[in-house]
Amino acid sequence: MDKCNLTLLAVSLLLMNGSTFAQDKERAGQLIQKTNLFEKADQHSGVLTQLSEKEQVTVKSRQRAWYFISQDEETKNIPLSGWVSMLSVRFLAQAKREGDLGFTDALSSMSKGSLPTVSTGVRGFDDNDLEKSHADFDQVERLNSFAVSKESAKQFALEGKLLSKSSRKGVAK
Amino acid sequence: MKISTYFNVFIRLNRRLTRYVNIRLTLSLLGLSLVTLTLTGCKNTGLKVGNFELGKLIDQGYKVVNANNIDESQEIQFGTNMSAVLLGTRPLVQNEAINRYVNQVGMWLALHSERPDLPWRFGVIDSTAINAFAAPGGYIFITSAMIKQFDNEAQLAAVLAHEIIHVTQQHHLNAIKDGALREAITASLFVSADAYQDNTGASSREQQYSAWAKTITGAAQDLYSKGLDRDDELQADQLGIRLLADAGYDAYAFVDNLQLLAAISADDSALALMYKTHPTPESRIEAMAGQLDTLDSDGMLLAERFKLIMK
Repeated sequence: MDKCNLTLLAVSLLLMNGSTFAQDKERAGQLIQKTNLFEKADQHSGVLTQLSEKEQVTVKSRQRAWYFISQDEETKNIPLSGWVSMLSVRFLAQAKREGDLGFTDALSSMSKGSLPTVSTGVRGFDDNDLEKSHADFDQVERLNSFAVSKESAKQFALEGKLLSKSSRKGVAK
Repeated sequence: MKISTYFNVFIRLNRRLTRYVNIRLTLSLLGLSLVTLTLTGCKNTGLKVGNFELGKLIDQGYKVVNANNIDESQEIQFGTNMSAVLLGTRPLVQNEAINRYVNQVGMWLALHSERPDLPWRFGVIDSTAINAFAAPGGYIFITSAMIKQFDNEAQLAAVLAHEIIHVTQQHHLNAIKDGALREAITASLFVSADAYQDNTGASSREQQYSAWAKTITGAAQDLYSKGLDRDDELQADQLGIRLLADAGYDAYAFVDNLQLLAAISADDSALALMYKTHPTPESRIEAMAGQLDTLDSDGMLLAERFKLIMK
C-alpha cells in the first residue's frame, strides 16, 4: 500500500471514529396530565397505578403510541415502571444535536486543503438570510442530479421491508 | 327664438363636436402607439407558455388575472424559481449519498400521495437552522440540522410527508392567491429565466433578467418568511401522518418529531424561522391527537439503515 492510500485509510478511520451521530438515549420527561400507568402498551391491559401531573419520568423506549417509562429510585420509595400514552409526556428541555452531517462533508473540506473546523456561527435560515438570497440555478441542477425513479424507490422500499397500506391489506386477505 | 340665440346654440354644438372628434382622434393615436410599442417591444408576440402570453411580460406590473388557471407546468416552474432562491440562501450538503437517500425516502412517500407523477425532488440544505420547506411542483427541502436530530428513517419520512402534503394540496399557490402576496403575483413567477429573456424585448437583457430575478426573489422571501396559513400547516400534519402510515412507516414517528422539537428551547435561534411560520409543536400534537388511534400500528422505523447513511 503506497503512502497516499495509507493516508486516505487513516483519514477515513479517523472520521468514521469521530462520527457525530448520537445513539438513541433515555430521555427525561414530565407528565402533562394525570395518567394511568399500564402493564402493557395497551389501554386494555392492567393499570398499575395512577401518576400525577408534573411527575418526572424517564422514557426508555416507545412502542406505537406508548412510552415505556420508569421513575427515579431516588424520588420514589418503590420504583415504578410501565407504559403511558405518549401524548401524556412532555420531554424536558434538551440541547439540540450539532455538527456536520455525514463524514464526507469533512472529507470535502479537507480536499480543499484545509482541516475540518467546528462551525461556531449560525449558518442558518432566517429572514435576513432570505433577504440576502440570490436565485442559484446551479444548485437546482445539482438537486435534479439526485432525483430517483419510481422503480428505484420501490426497490429501496423492498430492501427496507416497507409495505404500503394497500399491500398490507392484501397480505391480511 | 332670436337669430343670435340659434347662432349661440350652433356654436356650442360645433364646439362639442370638435371636442368629440379630438377625443376620438387622441384615443386612436394612443391605441396605435400602444400597438406599436407592443409590437416593437416583443420579439415573439403571441408565444405562450402555459396560459401566459410572454409578450405581456414586457409590462413588469402585469398581474395574473386568474391565479386559479395556473397549469402544472407553470406550477413546476414556479417551484423551480422558489427553490433557486432557497438554495441561494444555503446550498445542498456535499454528501451525495445523503441527498440520494432522502430522494429514495421521499419518492417512496410521494408514490402514495395524490400526485405521484410530479417530478419530485428532495434536497438536504446545509444549514444549522432546524426547518424544512416545500416549493410548488414537487420540490422538498430539509435542513441538515433537522436530520441531525433524528434517530431513524421514519422520523425523516415524517417531515418529508408533511412537506409533500403542502405540494399536493397546493398550499403555496393558495398563499399567493389569497394572502398578502396577491399583489406580488406577476407572470414572471411562472416562467423560466430563459423564456423570460428570450421573449421580452429589452435593450438590455441583463436589466430584464434582474427584474425577473428581483420578482422571484421577493416572492420567495415573502412566502418563506411569512409562512403558510395555520390551517394549511395543521392539514399537512393530519394528511402527512396518514401518508406516513400508508407508505409503511411507523406513523408515531410524526409525534416523536413534534415532541423532540417541543423539547428544544424556543429561544434557540435554530428554530426561529420555524416558530415564526408554524404553530407550536404542542398545539400541533393537540390537533392530531384524535386521529392517532385510527392509524395502522405496524409500520417500520428503520433506525439501522438511517444510521448507516448518516454516520
